[in-house]
Amino acid sequence: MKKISYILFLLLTAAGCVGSLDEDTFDFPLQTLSVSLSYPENSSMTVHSGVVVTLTDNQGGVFKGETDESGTAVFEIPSGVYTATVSDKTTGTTVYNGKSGEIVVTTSAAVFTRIPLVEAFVNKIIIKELYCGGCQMDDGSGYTRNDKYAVIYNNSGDVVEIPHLGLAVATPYNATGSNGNYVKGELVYATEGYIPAAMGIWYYPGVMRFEPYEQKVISIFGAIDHTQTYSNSVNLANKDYYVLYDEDCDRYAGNTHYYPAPYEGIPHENYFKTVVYGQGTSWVFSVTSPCFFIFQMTENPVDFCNAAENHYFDGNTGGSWGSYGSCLKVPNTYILDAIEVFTTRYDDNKKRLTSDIDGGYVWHTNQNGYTLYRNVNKAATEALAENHGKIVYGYSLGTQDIEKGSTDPSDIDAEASIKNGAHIIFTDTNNSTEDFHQRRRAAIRN
Amino acid sequence: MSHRILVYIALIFLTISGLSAQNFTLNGTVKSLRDSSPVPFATIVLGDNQLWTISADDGSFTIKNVPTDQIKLSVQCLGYVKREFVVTKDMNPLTIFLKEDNLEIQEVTVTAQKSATEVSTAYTLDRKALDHQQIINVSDINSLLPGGKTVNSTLTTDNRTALRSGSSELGNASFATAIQADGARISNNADLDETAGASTRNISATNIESVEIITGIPSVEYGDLSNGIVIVNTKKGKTPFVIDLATNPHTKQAAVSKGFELKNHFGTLNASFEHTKSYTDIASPHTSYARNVLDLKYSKTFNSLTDNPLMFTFSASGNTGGYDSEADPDAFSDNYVKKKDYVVRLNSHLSWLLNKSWITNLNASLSMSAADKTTESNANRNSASTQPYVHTTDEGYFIAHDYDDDPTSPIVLSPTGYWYVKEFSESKPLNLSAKLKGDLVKYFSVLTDKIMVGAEFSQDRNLGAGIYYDNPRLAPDGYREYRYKDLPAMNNVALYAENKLTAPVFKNIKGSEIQLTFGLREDLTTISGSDYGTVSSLSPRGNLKYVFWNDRAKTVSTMSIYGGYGKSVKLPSFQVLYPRPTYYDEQVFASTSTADGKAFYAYYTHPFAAARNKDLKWQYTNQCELGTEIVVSGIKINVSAYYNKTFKSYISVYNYMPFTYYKTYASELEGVAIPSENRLYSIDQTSGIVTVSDKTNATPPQTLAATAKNTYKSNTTFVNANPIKRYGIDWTADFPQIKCLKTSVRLDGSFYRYEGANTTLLAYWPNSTSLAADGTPFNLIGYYAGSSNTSTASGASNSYYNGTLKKQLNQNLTLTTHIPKIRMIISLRVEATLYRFSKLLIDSGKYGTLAYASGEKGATTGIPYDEKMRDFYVTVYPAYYSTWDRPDELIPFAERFIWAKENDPNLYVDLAKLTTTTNYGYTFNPDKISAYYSANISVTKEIGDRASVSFYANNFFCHNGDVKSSRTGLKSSLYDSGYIPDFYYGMTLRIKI
Repeated sequence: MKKISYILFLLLTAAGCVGSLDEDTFDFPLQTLSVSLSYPENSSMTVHSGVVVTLTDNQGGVFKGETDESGTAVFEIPSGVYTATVSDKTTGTTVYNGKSGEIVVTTSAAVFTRIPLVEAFVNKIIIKELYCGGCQMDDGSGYTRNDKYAVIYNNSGDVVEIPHLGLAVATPYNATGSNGNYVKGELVYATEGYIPAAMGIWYYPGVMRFEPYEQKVISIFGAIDHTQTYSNSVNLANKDYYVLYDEDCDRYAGNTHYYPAPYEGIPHENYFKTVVYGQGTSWVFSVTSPCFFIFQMTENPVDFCNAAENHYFDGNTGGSWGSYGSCLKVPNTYILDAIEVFTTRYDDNKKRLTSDIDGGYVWHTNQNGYTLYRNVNKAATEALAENHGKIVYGYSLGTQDIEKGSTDPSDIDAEASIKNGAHIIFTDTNNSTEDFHQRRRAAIRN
Repeated sequence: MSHRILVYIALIFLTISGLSAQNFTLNGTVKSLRDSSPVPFATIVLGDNQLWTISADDGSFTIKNVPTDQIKLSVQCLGYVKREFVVTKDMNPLTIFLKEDNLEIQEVTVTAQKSATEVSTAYTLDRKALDHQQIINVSDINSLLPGGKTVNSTLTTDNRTALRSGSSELGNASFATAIQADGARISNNADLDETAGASTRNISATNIESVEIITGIPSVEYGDLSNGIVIVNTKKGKTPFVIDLATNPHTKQAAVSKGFELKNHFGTLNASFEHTKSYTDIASPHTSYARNVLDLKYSKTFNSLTDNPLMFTFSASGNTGGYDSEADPDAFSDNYVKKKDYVVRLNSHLSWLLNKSWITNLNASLSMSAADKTTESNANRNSASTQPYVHTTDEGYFIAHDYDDDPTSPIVLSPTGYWYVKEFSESKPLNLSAKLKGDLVKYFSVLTDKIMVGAEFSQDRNLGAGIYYDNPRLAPDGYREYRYKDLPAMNNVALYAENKLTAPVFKNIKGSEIQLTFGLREDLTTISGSDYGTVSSLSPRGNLKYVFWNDRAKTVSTMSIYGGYGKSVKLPSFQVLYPRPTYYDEQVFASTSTADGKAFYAYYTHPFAAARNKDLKWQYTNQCELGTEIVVSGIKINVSAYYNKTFKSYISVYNYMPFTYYKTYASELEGVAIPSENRLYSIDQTSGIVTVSDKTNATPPQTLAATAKNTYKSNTTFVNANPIKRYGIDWTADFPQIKCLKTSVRLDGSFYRYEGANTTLLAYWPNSTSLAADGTPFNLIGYYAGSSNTSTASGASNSYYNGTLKKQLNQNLTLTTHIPKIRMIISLRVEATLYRFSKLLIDSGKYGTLAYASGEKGATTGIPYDEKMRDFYVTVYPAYYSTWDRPDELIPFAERFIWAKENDPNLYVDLAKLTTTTNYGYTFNPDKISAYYSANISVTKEIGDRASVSFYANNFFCHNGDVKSSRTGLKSSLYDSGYIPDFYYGMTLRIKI
């Protein structure tokens, strides 16, 4: 009995000692991680200093570092699993993006990794805004989610015509949860030259013409005035808007919760059409973390979707064409722009876009009426002579005050400036981290 | 029919009328062993329920006309240990001492015991076992059967009992497992929403005296079943005042019971009340299921001192309570769901010992079971646009109207903004039954012949109003009234006869005996006013048991074998009999929305009358069984092997019918001159032509052009599926107690194998692929060899497998330490699953090769699939397809698919959409789960004569290790896997006053 008492005493003493340790006395051992960049062989670009490398751990923690002259960024970081992303826009013209696989850092040895950069596709037609998270209901019972819209924008002073402007979301619908398209930490289509579009695509039946700096507002669901019921929402009953509404798709059109008859002022020529190859009674557009991209097609969209060589099956679901998980291979060369959204609600976000399409992601907190809005390319906008005296500064609608929130570093209030007659050139580095921020209010509510 | 009547008559008169032995009168007294006080109300039974009586106030009893010089006698009284022994004429008069049933006695069992007297496999659980295991729901008893697995009991989950079966199998095993409480069948036949076994949540667990589970071939007395029966007997007679208080993390229970002796010998009344409440979430104890059961059981024996005692029993049981989420403060505002589980069961039973030359006993009973299972839900709704609520019951084209303008409109527009919808789903199943049964025992020399003849009438109906809403204007889209009370009742008349012959074989071998039981049951099911008419089902059953010897002083002291064959028929549920009428609603027009979100929608509706299948056959099972009971060196071994084949199990399938409708595109409105605020929309019910009128009459009406579109209408019907096979072995081995440790050991286990594949040709329209290759609506129907669907809840759709092979080997070890001196019993039970195997099957039936394997995901061609293949993607073809133009022509799929690849690219694309392919290469790999186990402990301690405490801890090692799947090669945690229970515990305090 004495022995037992003695052992118990020792254990309690040890437990007490451990319990009394001050948190501040813990000293996390750090390890060195070197991230080296390499540019495409056929590129004239060589390694150089000043390129920002962003490290993200699997809890969402972010570390930033810059490359030295040898093109290497060195981090002193705790043990963990990291992902490094790079978007080199230092040349001002061409953007090079890259993303590592999972980098495991332990205390046992320094870690070295190399990221091959790819030249990003930059186009004049961009996604200016994506409003997808919904907003609070007036009676406090939750949030509405069927008021989504996107704004497509001509980021140039040229007239641009897009044949069959296509809208798609990558698979899986949410950034979190199981992603069966990863094998050994890499997307299976990382080097295949396409992005899989889940469930179905929407397309504009004709050629969509964009005047210089013109924007097209597209109602993803419900081209009606949502504000009459949800005062924090948006009014999509506008004759100039476009709408995803296809009366020939019985499954969608019959789902009047998601697809109420569009506002009478919207001409039918502003209706998009759809090709559905997956399952569901509405286009699945994540309310937390979509991966949305726009593209153009020169061929007939129905034929394009039917072609077996364009079929892809999600890693977790789908085995038959037409079943849940059926996806369409959209060639990278077709893609005009994309936005990769990560949700702040969960930690296990995974990228769905390859680095040449989008090298980063933008954090999003849904249900609050926040929107994802493009950052202004300050230098380029200020350089336009016609903007003299029209640019409005003092942007105040960022969400940098909330966890993982963000704002436009240019400090230019794009919407106010546009109203003031300015032409805005938005940042386009094919990196959502650099290109987007989370805005406190949907832009069309201004 | 006439030949069947002859068979009955032959059965009845098969008995050889023989000579009776010389009769004698048996007198005796039943006394308590503790203080020699008389024990009144003890039941004394001679032979196989042949002669019986009840002891008087002074414990005395008399049974006259005992026909043989020696006969088995059993004495039973609540609170005492049952005694059985053979009495002989020279033992007269008898004094029988009964031990009080507590933990002071040496022989205590807390496990399911095989019934030795049955000629088929049956197990019994007594009150002590139920107390020790702290059963909350009758469905928990499955875990106490050989090889059974413990579940953490809670009432918030409505687990159903299913014997000798597994989950996700064809054959509706829980529906086919009968539940009977105090002679009244608890039927779930009249449920419109499920084809599943009866819920047992509303049975008071504390008031159960014993449970008998017949897993083998039951007597023909029991019908409307095909997977065995669970017979619940509640307490009756005079019993002390008992208070039960139980708790576990999710459930609290309080119960009181007492049995009274009424004045002036007016009989006894046993009353019990139990309140039990289970919570879904222990962190938020609001959403709950409550049970409040009042049980009353009156019994009186008339003429107990005469030759012809008559026992009358009347029991009434009622439950109020059910599921309730209203009180949950975490739920938004006034949203709630309440599900009533109100039940009233009444049963009166007469047992009359006539002891005549033509009849020995007469039994009659009347029972009623009425339930109110109404669900009330209140849910908030909101919408920024008017939504079409289609309630059309007529065929044709209809357009929506504002409810205020036309409340009777077949389609009304919803409000915009925020509102609540209160829905009632009223289901009131009612079961009535009347039974009359007589038996006659005769002797021919050494042969005992017991004939039983009976008749039974039962009726199932539902008195519910179905679904309705407190505010009709808010009844949601698709709602149509369907009154359950208007459905015809299902009446069943059963006639049965059974003959049991018992004869000793060798005079010089103790206990040597042969028992033969054979019987016939005829069920005549009539459903008036339906297509089904009268359905006749014949169920022959027979058992043979041979006792080599019994209780001899040898190493193998007891040995017997038994076997049997039987057919049992399960009547269909109302869900199967009366599928709801379905309505096909196709949107044919949607006006544009006004600035305030109002739009007018038009629909074409095609009503389908309930698709009752007049060719539907009643599901039945053919059971074969072989068993043995051996006692070797004191080790009691029971082994039972069975082979059950279920035929005609119920499944739901789709029917498709091609049709053309006319659609008006909103773009047609662009040519309408009437301002939108003045527009009135109407549609011609027959042609579907939309007309826009001007409210102000300033502009003449305009008709809109309509476009013909082709599609399919669909509904579901119920058909019979292919036979499925189940076989297995159950065993128990009870080792004698290790005296020094006061510990006994039991090994029990089971091996179970299920193989079921459904190759019934079924149609499916993959409307998920909304467009054909040419951009028109998809216009092909695939006809598949079966489906993976095992539920009747929805129509069977195409799938890449149509069956499952399952095998499982469970082995349990129970160590029971019983210390009478301190009145304590401790049992440790280790439950191991040594082998768990499953494999998905593709049975192409008579349709040739339909499955092809490929190394590439999404491939629609490959090499013919073979069951031995591993890590292949498999694509399955339909056997046939049909086109919209020629729906009745079934075109062989495979050859056309190959042809289309080279010759018709569009057809090839469309046909490819009819194929079904696995998501993973491992899908068809055999799945063997590595062995796993968990351990439970239960303790019961009596504190004097007045109190006892029971405690249990399930998975008390908190074992959450990994198991490995051979199918994927991956490991997964046992935690929350459903393979073993999570760590759980509970305690019960019982006070006897």
